[in-house]
Amino acid sequence: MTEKVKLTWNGKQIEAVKGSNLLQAALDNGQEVAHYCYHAGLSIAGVCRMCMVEQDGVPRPFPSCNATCGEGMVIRNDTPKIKAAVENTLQFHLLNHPLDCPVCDQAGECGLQDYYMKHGQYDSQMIDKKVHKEKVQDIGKNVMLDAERCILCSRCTRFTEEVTKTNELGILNRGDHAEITVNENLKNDYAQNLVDICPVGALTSKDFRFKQRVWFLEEVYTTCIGCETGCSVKVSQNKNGSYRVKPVFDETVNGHWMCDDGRSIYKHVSSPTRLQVASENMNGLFVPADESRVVELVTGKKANFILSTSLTNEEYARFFESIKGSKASVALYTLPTQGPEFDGILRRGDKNANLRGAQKAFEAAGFDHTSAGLDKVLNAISASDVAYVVVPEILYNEDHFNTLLKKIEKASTRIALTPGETLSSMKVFNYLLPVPSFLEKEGHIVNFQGTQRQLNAGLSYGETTKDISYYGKWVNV
Amino acid sequence: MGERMILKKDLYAQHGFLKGLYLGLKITMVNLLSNVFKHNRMTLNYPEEKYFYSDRFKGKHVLTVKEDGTLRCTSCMLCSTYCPAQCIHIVAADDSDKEVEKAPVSFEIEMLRCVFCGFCEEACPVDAIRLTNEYELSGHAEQEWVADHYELAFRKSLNGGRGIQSTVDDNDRLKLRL
Repeated sequence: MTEKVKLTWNGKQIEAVKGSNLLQAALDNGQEVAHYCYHAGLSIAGVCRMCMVEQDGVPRPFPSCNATCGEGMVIRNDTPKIKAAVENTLQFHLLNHPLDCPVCDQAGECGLQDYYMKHGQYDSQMIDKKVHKEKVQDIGKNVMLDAERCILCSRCTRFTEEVTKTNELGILNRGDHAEITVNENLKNDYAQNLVDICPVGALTSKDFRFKQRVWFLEEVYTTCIGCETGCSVKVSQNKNGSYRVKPVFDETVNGHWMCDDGRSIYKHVSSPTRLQVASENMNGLFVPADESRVVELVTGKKANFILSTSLTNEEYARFFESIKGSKASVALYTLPTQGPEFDGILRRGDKNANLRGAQKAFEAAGFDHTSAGLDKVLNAISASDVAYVVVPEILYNEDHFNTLLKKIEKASTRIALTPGETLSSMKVFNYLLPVPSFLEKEGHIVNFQGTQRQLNAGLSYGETTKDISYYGKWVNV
Repeated sequence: MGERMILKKDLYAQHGFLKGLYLGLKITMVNLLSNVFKHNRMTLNYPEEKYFYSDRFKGKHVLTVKEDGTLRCTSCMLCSTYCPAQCIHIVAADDSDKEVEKAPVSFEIEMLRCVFCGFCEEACPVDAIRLTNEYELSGHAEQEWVADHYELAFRKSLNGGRGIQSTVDDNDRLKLRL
């Protein structure tokens, strides 16, 4: 039921769904409400006491996260009473805070820093010694715990309880000695979400640890190509490289979360071993080569293309356009299934990011996209042919890919179009040519639901990457 | 050309130009003779004689050290954030000491880019970087103009290579933590 009600927030009329969360309604309408423990993807705890509001006809302030929207409610959170409540609550949150912002990775995106600038009392009234807890705890799955910085909002314990249902985290002891503890190291495959939902620096990522300060980073909003789910993500990057992947709320696909496998999809993009320029295989060593030599080599020979499933719809279309009218044969290499079909939350075993888009493009161009089609192309390769292999962006199973490479050894000229790192198995190829990675191109992929997902281009880390259709045009030289 | 301008008309009318010439030369001669026979010159015989600036002078940077001789810097990157010339490059890493937690593995300042504004000194929360009164920064064109943390903290001019200990002592800092 989506019956709309009208209520007044700080004298302004806002509209919300009847019975929906009051705090969320305010946030959706662009109102500022300080909050730590409330998270739209988790249950209500009401422990941080930061989102206090006053309602006409109700004698005392109450937390808005634990209230629901009703017709004609008159709510204020800008009264002196509420301001004093928020200020004093924040003071309690900060009483035992170690103030190690200089060494804390959360600095710059920290809830305590943000609200301190708005609601802070600038002189601490603490006269006792601060309570010290254990710092720098590696609790597994790339998560670091600093119990001292924790404000006990309980978002992380609720996450392990409700979302992953693994219950690794809990709050032990009472009063100012209460702290987050692990009964065993994290074992769920969604543990990095704990880092995202922690409003302070208590849970930080070990992968991102001390790599960059967050204010040096810019976000690119794009889509994860780790599996066929296609979660909305943002990748933080600057001119020195890409540093982390975080989920972006998307109601239709991934909600608030993403899996740990998807967190490492950025790594090949700005890796030091990323293929930068066209390279030639000199007895196992790849040295920069002139592109015109490659063109000379492939001229007049039959081309066999083996495409990957991580290209965008637009790239497939441009590629098939470029080889139109030639005798080139094209096949699709699909990645093998990894793990269970679906793990119940987000992750899927099918690791082909754009399988559906590829199939559609192959059918439209009149090529066979099945594994039988791939075998047919591989068997038909003769010694005088040129074999182009588009290397998949994320290779979960390198051995499976190596078996493919064994089959193309018959061709005299073997060329890899690679968006990522130079792998040891690539010694099979005569030439390596760089193509843009998923972070360097605009386009769409089709996920498991059949919906179009947008890929956005960020900074480019390959010096001379060229679109795959550029290489496709060589068949008609 | 405009009208000829004579400033002291009376003097000129009485003595012509010779008096003015004599007065000017007198100042020159007095200074010449006093510089030759009394040593009160303003100029120094650099580099045998050197001028010492006050500690407020903004010269070559120094990274201060702790009691145990390690760098004070926690690599919070506030200096490199604040630096208007963007000449400070820090690479941070985990420190084995849990109290320290984060420490620089590399701290470099591009001396040719630096404008010696002293903002890094102001931004530093732990008194790890200071500008000293060292002003002799000349070098050869081929010279590496990037000062690394060995140079910045342990060059010969700083306590003979032992570095400068910060006055904000670690124990004091722990006391301040309460």
